[in-house]
Amino acid sequence: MSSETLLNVKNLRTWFNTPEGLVKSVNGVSFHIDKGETLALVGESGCGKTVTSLSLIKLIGSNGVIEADELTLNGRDIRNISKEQARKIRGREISMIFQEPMTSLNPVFKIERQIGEMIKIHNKGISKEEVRKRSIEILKKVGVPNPEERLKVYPHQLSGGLRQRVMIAISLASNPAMVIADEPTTALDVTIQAQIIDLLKELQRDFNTSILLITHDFGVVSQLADRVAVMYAGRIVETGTLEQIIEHPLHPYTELLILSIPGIKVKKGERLKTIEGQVPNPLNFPDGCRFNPRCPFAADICRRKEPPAVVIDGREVSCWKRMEEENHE
Amino acid sequence: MNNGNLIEIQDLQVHFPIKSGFLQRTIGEVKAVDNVSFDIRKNETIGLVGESGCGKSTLGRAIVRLNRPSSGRIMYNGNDILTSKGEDLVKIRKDMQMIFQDPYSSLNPRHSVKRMLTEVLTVLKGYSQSEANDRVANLMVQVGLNPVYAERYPHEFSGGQRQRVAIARALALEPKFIVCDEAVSALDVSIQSQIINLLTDLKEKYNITYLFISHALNVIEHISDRVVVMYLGAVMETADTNELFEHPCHPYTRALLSAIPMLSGRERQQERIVLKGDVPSAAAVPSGCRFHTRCYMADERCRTEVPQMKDLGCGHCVACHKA
Repeated sequence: MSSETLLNVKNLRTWFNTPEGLVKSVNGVSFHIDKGETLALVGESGCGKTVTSLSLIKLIGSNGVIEADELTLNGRDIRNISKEQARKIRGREISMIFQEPMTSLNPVFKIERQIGEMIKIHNKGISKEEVRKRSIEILKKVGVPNPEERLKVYPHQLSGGLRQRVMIAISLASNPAMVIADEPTTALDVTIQAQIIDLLKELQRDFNTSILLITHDFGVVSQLADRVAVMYAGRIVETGTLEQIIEHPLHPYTELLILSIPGIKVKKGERLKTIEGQVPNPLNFPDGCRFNPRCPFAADICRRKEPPAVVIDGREVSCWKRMEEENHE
Repeated sequence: MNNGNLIEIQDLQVHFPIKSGFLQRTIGEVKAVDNVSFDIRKNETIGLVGESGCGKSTLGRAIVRLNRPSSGRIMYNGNDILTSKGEDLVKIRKDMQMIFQDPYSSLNPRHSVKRMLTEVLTVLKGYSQSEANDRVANLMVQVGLNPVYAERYPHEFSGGQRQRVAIARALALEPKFIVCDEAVSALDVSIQSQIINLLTDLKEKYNITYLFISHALNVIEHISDRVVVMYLGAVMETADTNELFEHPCHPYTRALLSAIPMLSGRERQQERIVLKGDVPSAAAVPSGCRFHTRCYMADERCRTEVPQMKDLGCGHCVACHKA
């Protein structure tokens, strides 16, 4: 795996103006993705993981504002690009796999047209036969049986697993440098989920694609990700390699989250850990560290000041308690 | 009956007709639950797993009589639930409750928590208004809700709190048996663990028996004493939880277990078995063993002969020619 950086994000902020007030969905998120690497963005619903990914390709509503100190794709600044340029990046360089393939495929067009559209847009002046040939090739690659037949059907005639394969085929049609996979297996059964995970791994190996995996499921993370960034209330609280995060989480949120899922570290019969309270309302995030009202270790400073991201044991974490422990040692 | 079984399900079939055309003639049947038999012992949590469309919810609903089985018997404490009428049925209904997946659609949005709970208590328990009010406060405390929220409506609660309201409602009648149909699936992980712990506590406190329906195998492993694995409307394997997760015998169970992405702390992960294809339609169940179209061990016999349930000892039953 090369360690060349594909995407670099520094201090990304995405805010929405809503009738209820300013919603700071993403507030100071920084990460990078290397070529051929899978970074998982993990968090509970409403923590801003999807908004983060949509901000990268400027797919947010007109009431949203995206700002960043740095946002580069292959070394190129993509902060202030025009709509036209953004459209070119979407699909060609960064493409997306959505959670629910039924709602992200167009129900009134046949599969052939939906895959073909992608190929035509990215290869101007290509002949009809060539489009068809390539569509069949791509469907074969993603493991759709009888691709010639499948081109002629509508999405509702396919099962959930096949639909997700078609979705992946469409996102790979342009051979993008990076794929954003937003909960790619959440709507699927476990046996189908295993098929799709294998497929994503295989395709990544073949094309050296980078994947930004967005999920709340630590199981999927453990099978796909190289590195993990844990998000809470619009910020990344901790980033590390898969093993570091699962085996030795530094942030109390990550630790409690892992201990609250049955079957990872909690043995049968043991009591699950819980995180008291609720995910905070984005209109009214708590002062200081955003996790402080739910954190069992919260001290005075946690309630007053937001912890900066510091590097401990070669990975980034934002927690006053950890910083203190580190300073003592 | 004194064999420790609370519920005995015998040859249960739930078939839904497929109607088509102008005259709505029945042209086929979806065999949602097909010849299912198993027992639920007193005070145990039995986990029911399977992929979507395997009939696990239909089975759960049939037990609390939310849909009508085509044939078979469900015995509750020696009484057949399916033929009970009048007073007897009311009595059985009081003993059985259900918690649904989505608390938003299973709670009436126009009733406050207090009204929801007092209604049950005054109608079925014959409580007076003031007795009911006390009990409501008591129930709310038990599920971890502050009683001052009694006048609130479902939309004023978060997902986890709403599920607590649903649990309070199920508890109101002091049931002996609760069907939890994907009761934690719609919740965030940190909230999910709160609800799992709550359900475990209540079980210990009130000796409740659960039928816990879920597709999440890690949750099933954590909460259940015994597990029933279903595929396309039929039971493939039943065993004690540890036995099933340590020594799965049915190829389907093996594939299912190996498909759960496992993290650290477990040596089970040998080779992963990835099943090909999708679950066939329940309207056209394959001949012989219904799993043979996706099975990696299937041979001629599997295609023609339906495997019978075999007892491998210690209550580990499996329906497979190869086991």
